[in-house]
Amino acid sequence: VTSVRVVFAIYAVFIVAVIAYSIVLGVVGQ
Amino acid sequence: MRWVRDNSLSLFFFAILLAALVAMAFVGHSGFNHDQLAHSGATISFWRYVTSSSFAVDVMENWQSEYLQFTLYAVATVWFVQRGSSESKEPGEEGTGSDEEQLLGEHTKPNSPKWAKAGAWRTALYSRSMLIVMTTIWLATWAAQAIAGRIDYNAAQLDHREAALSLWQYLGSSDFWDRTLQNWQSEFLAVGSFAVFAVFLRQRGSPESKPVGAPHSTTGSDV
Repeated sequence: VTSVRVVFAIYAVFIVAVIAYSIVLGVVGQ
Repeated sequence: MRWVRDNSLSLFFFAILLAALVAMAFVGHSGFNHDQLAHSGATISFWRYVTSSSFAVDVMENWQSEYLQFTLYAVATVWFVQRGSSESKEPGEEGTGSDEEQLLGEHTKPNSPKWAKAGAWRTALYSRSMLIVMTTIWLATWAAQAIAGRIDYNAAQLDHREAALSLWQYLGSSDFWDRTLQNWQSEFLAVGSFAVFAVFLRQRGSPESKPVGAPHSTTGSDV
């Protein structure tokens, strides 16, 4: 199960990062 | 390598996600600059494009519809059935199931998740954790689509010497709803048709399919 947690974390971090990145680009008006 | 094999499905999809995203950035950049030249505007660098709201809104509008689709699928299959579909429960089994079926209360196993055994609010929350997380991602990506989409839309508006919109105005614009609904309709079609196709069609070896020899009348994937 520990090895699966790594994949879960990769997805979770990637999803949150891309959403945050998109919001920031919009908020700063890029 | 054991780790790669154990996680091959998730890793495969993550790899093609990155590949598609990079390819999308390249062709999106090319398309953006073509459009700029057609409008006698200045072209931009690749880096400027991937840090633009124009790129962000294109990614987010697709993400939100995918998360909406899976969220709806997870919830709709609790209450709706499709007779004969591997994706459905048997007619008559609609609903959230008994504690016995769900391995809750006195039916938990020693290795059940901690919050499934905890009872009260923690089990109630954990029982809906898929819906909660998927809905949160859907709403966050939809909001990101609106925020980045407005900037992209306003850039075109200013280019055409027309008025820029506030976020509130953009939420009521045809651009926002066109981007939203063009993605939703395709997701709903794909899910609906897959649920029905799974009655009559088979894919040998796939858990998304009934066994090849299973009768059309069999509902559910475990035969």
